[in-house]
Amino acid sequence: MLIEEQIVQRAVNGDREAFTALYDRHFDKIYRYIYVKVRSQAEAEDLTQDVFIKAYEAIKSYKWRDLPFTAWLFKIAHNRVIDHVRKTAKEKKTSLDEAGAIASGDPVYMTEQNFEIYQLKDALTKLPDAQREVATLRFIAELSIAEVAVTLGKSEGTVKALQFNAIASLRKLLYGKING
Amino acid sequence: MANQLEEIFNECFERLLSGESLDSCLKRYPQYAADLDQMLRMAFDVKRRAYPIQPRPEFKYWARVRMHGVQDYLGRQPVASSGPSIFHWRRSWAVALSAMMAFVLATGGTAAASSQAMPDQPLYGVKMAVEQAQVALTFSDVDKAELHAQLAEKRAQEVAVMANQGKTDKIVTTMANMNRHLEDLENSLQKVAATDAGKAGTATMVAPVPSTTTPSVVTPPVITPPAPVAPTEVTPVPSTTTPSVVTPPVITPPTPVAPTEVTPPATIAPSIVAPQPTITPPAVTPQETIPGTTTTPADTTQTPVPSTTVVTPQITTPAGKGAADNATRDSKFSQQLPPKTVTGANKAVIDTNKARSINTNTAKSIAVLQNALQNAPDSVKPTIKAAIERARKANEQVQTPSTKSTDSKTILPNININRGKDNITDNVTRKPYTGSTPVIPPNKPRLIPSTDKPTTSSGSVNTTTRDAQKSTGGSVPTVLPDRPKLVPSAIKPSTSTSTSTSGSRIIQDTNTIIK
Repeated sequence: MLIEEQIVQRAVNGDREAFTALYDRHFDKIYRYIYVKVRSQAEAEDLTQDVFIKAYEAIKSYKWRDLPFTAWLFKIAHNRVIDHVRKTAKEKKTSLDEAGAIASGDPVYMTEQNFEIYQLKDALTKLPDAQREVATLRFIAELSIAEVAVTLGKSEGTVKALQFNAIASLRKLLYGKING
Repeated sequence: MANQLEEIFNECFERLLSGESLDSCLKRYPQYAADLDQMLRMAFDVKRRAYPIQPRPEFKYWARVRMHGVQDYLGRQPVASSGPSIFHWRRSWAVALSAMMAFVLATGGTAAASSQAMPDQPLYGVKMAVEQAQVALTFSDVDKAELHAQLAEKRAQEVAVMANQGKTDKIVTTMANMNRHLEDLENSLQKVAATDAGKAGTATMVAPVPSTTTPSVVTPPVITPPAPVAPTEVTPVPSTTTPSVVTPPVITPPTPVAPTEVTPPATIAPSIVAPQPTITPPAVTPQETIPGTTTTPADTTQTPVPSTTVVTPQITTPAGKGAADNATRDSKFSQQLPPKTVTGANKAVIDTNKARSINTNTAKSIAVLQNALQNAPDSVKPTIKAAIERARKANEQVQTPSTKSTDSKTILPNININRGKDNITDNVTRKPYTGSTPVIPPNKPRLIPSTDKPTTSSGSVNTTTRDAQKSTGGSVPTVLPDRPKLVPSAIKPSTSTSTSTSGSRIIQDTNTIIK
């Protein structure tokens, strides 16, 4: 963490390579986080780029003591996704075709994967907002409890409870039962 | 119980992430083993499902290229570090410029077409590049300031369009661009102000006074009287006995003009007719705030007035000998000056036309942003408000020579800005100016040499004037040089003071027709 703080500080001071390092470190997570929240791969790609451009524009005013960098970055992503979803709320819903995000050699395997992703996204949309947000940040974007708490402005205890409930709900939605 | 299970679940999840096995975790909490097993498996199932979600490699590559492009574009700030980075910056800048030049030459039509592009359109990048080249090819600080003001206005209009379309991200990026232009504008103005200060020494403000007024009439009374008159006159309290020097009673503004102005317009007209001591008060007033000693007459008698008289020349006199002397003597007082008393010292004195242009552009920017504020999402409103404030500050930094001169006809263009959008609409509709600028009483003798000059300086120099200039393809005096001869003398005062220029034109036209 200390290393990341140093890299961030260099980026704040205008070191472009430091920012690139941060970019490489967080790009996939941000993409994954956005992907499960939007409807198509193209949207996820556009938004991911926007998030990093925004981050670069704002990095000079960033201060670590106010917010850890990861939380700050995911906050930007969160706001960007909210803006986007608000604008595209009236458009058509996700189709299974669009859920395909991964190119792999075996078409059968790829289809199975895409279907599982589609199921997951569908299940996430049925969760309450708070649970969905925690589940996405915690299990898909792989943030720590502390980072999720700071990103969402909630206490760690609340995040733990939401995480637990989200997993229980997802289990019910994906497998149709709570026990067994 | 529930809380405990949530805690245990989180602990086990973290342990599993760090490499511990599920069994060992379950053995720690045998009483919750069944629940924990299911929940932890589900959590890892979610992770497993999400794991294949990866950005396409080609997208990742191009996104990175684009990010570097953005860094090139935005990273114009000089990094305070070693030489190689500056060299690298210069080299990349030169490469970018040459590439852009080649691009413009190759596709001139595209560049022209891009001038109307909005941030969400493909040609917007071309537009940015063209503008960047414009900035790079502008060398004078004043010209740069003017250009940045124009570009800031363009950004403001783009922000308004994006706000109407609800494109928050584009608003943010465009606002960032606009802020950069405003920042560059401020920097350019500060450079101009610094160079002006360097040229004029301590007397930075009045240096470029136009020849229409007589600076010699104004300044001398301030400098000369202090030595002989001051010691005796400061001790007697009231200002009634001696109108000239005792006027110091600090804030009591002897003239109705704004106290920050060095020489109010109203006092000038009479001064031309007959130089009177009444001119001095305005010059003295600014200093009054400096030494608090003047309030007690006893003190002032013992340590005579020099302090009060000294500071004045710094502000008023352009090149008076006394000014220099006083400045050196009382530099300590000048350091104690609160910034307010030095009003205008930091302002950039610019050629009138350019200052008007800058003021008009910043005023438009403010008006457009205020409109955009209504349609913009809440998340970007603070940014827009900050930009409005910044534009205001930039506007206040600009100062035409006429604004600090003693010319009775001039009115600060940036008065418009301070009053915001409503004022601009006033100007557009050509309502008479009703600001704080003193209107010369009709019975007072008034010099009207202004008939040979454009009377735009009298009223509001604003967007409509600019539009009129645009429509006629250049700087158009709103009153033609030969027209004033036809104007009856009774009308002249009103045209030169506060009535709109278009109104005077109409009157003159009708007079012409009648004759």
